[in-house]
Amino acid sequence: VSVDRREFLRRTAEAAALLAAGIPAPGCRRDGGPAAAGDVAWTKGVCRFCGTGCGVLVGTRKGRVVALQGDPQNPVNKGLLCVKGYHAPLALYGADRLTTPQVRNGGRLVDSTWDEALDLVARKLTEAFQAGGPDALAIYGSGQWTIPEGYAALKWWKAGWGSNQIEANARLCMSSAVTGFLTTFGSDEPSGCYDDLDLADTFVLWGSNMAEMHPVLYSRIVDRKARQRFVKIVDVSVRRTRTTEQADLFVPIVPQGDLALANGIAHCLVRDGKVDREFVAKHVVFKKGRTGIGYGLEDRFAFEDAPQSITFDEYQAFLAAYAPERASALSGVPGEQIEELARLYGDRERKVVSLWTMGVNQHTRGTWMNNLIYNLHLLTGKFGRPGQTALSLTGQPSACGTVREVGTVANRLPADMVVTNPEHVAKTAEIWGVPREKIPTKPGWDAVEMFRAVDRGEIKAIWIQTTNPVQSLPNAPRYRKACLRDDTFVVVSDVYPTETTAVADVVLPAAMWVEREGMYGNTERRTQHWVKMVDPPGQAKPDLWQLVEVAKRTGHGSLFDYPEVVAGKMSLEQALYEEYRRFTVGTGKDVASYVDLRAARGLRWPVVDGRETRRRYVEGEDPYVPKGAGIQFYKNKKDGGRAVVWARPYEPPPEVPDADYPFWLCTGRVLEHWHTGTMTRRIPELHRAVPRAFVEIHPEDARELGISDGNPVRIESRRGSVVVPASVNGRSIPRRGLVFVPFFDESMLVNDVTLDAYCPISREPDYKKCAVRIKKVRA
Amino acid sequence: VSRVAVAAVMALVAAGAACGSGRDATGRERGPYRRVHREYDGAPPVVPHAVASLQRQDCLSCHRDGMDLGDAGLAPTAPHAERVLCLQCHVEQVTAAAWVTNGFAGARWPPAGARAYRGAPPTLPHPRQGRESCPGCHGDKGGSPIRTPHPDRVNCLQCHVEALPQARLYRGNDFGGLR
Repeated sequence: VSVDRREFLRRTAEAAALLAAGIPAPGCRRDGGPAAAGDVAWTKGVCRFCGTGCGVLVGTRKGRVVALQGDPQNPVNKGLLCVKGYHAPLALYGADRLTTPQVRNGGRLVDSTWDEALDLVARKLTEAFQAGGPDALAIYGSGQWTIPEGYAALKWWKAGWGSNQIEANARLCMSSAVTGFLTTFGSDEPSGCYDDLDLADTFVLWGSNMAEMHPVLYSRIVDRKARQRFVKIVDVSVRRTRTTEQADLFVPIVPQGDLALANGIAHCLVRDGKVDREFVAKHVVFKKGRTGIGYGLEDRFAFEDAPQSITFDEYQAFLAAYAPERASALSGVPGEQIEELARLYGDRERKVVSLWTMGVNQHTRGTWMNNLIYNLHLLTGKFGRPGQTALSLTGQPSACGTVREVGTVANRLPADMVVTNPEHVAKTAEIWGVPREKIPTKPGWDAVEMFRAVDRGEIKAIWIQTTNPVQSLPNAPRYRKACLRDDTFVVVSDVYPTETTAVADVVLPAAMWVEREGMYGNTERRTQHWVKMVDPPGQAKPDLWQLVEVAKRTGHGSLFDYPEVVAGKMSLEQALYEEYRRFTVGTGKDVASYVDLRAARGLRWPVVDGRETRRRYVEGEDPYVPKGAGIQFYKNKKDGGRAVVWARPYEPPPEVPDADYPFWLCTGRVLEHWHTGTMTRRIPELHRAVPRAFVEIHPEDARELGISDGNPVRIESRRGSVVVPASVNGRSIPRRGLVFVPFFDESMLVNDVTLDAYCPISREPDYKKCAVRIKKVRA
Repeated sequence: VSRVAVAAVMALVAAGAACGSGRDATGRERGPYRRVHREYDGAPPVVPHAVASLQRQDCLSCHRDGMDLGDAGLAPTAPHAERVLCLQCHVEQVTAAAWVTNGFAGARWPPAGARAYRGAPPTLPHPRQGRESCPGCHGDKGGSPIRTPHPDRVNCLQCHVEALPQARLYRGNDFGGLR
């Protein structure tokens, strides 16, 4: 075939012009592949930090990530990111990336080969299995696992080993949200979506510092407020933060007081006749559960709720205990603010969105608090209508997509199924092609109990991927010691040295973010896909590859044997995703097809016939709601397709300040750092912005204790202590009697101080409340 | 083919020449403005000074209109003044040391856009990334070495267009523009 000279010149000129211009692409090809632009190729991806799920365009050149843009075509963030997102590419290039497998030898980690390390892991898992059965070996992952990674781990553990000892760090951040959804709606994950942020006029933030933790969504709310003067932001919090700066109403609250506040608002709504009687009559039932339910502080803690139906009158009688005076006394919120909040929730003209994350979820009554917020929306009928919803914000990029939807936890199977339901087990066994007896029906340990079992010596081998529990578990010293037991074998897959790799017997260098193909699912049910864009450094390999290579060595390779993959027709990621999707189709949790996902800027499930769903349970939006139903909670079959308003009382936290330990300790994050800081501290701009942890103290408390800004302060609880510099009049100001410490800094481990109490229903620990004393120390 | 390559190189040289150097009207050094305080072109610059008040995000009191700060020159004008949560993207650096060194090498866009012929309006050499106000950087009080010679014209995108690379040329064009 001859190419005409003129045509040849023209083509060359086109290429040269593009090269000369070097213009970056504001978009990329619809199939998700790279669009060449000059010498930088742009490919759609997802930010790998928080649960917002911002779309990004990743710029690569010569096998390296060299730039990033917010994706203007992604409806989540419309081109905007936060400082972590913009600097995400640097997370790949820290000088101490793990690039070689390491095996502990004579007390020290020494370089090894993949074969040696994988053989050792396979042998130790097999030995643990032979010695203690399926409950003696565990896998602990995270909401930063991609969907195929989490799915592979789930399938291997439950169908291969026949073990339910699989958990993820999402237990530490989102399980109260899950049990909140399950108990109120019968199905995990929200009805509403981010579109509602552009349509609401009243935003009530329950213990959520969105300006730092979900900054792109907070910008969306602030944009909304800038356009509509009547928009109100209410900030319910124990601290004044950057979020408070934009708020119209700051509601100061004492720790645990949220239970009383929510019931106090409900009391006023019922008292003032603000209940939407028609909505309640059609869509709601009332229930109560057990009270005095404990705090999970004892090993092998067990709890089962006993729901009982009640009438509206009984619910009203329950609320009698929460008149504003008493609710105010319990919550610390002035009575007039409780009335004001009731007016906002009760005003028919106002479109209210409630938002929350860790303040509500990391709570010894976290499930109850989730229930109580839904109560306010269900009582007033402010639900399922544009701009009217209760939106539980997620912490991690795929806490929803992987841990919650795939079900990589002790009692779950994909798509809202559980191991204790024989029908669910049967369906799972059929899709996996294994005998149903293979899948164990007794739930495994939840995250905290899993590490307690390690400490007790019951779990002989544990594989930890994509997370850093020795820094992030509450009351961490116990679990650090547990991992160091001679008779416990600990495998850690990670990208940098961490507090957890420090106690590992084998460290496997992992690929991260765009170094492998993946899918994440965000807060608003949006599943997003990205292709592999660059190679991982050195010998680092994807977590999925690591799992499958060891599974082959333990005789479970057939679980991952897909003819299409062997024939080179699809990636293993695609094969696993397609198989996982079979669990979801027809259930109301239908995830998008792989092909649709590659093309789209994410799609919100249920995706039926390629169409996404903005609002679940709403006729005309959700294809599972029959015509004429209006709203139907069709997943909650046991209550006739209705949602549940729960009578959940105020109960005190397990540890409260006293004469010996007079301060509350609350822990959390800052804008610049992600979780335990292992990635963000290696990004110079982020480290230089917040180089170390600090303890925020109210200026009056600091004055009384003779503490000035920057002074080293010892924070001591009944469990441990940490020395941290004081921050007085800094970024945030806590209420009097409460101090706040972020947990990202591995040189100042605040989880040596926190309490491992948890919500008995969700088994999520409370990182926000324990009692400490504080004292200035010499530098 | 070689003629085309030479032309491409010439275009780059010409673009570079347009960059300018020396000091701007406020005495501030002109240079690769986009590179200052950024990891890659398009990253939000860090804040190169102490943030006096972390309690209120009042950055825009200086950066909304390029306030004259005397010897310190002009405060760069925010090219997206509708955004008010400045510290979401722009962070102060309270220490100079990195925790661990980082091998990231960021991309840099060409210093200036291409022109079809001498006198033709140049295209944008960088993506806009939500920066709606071109005069923020390219106006009288902007920090970019490229200043508009016609600040009275405000509809910049009327003449200066984004060159979208995914829009492949519809047909070739043999126009030999005056250089």
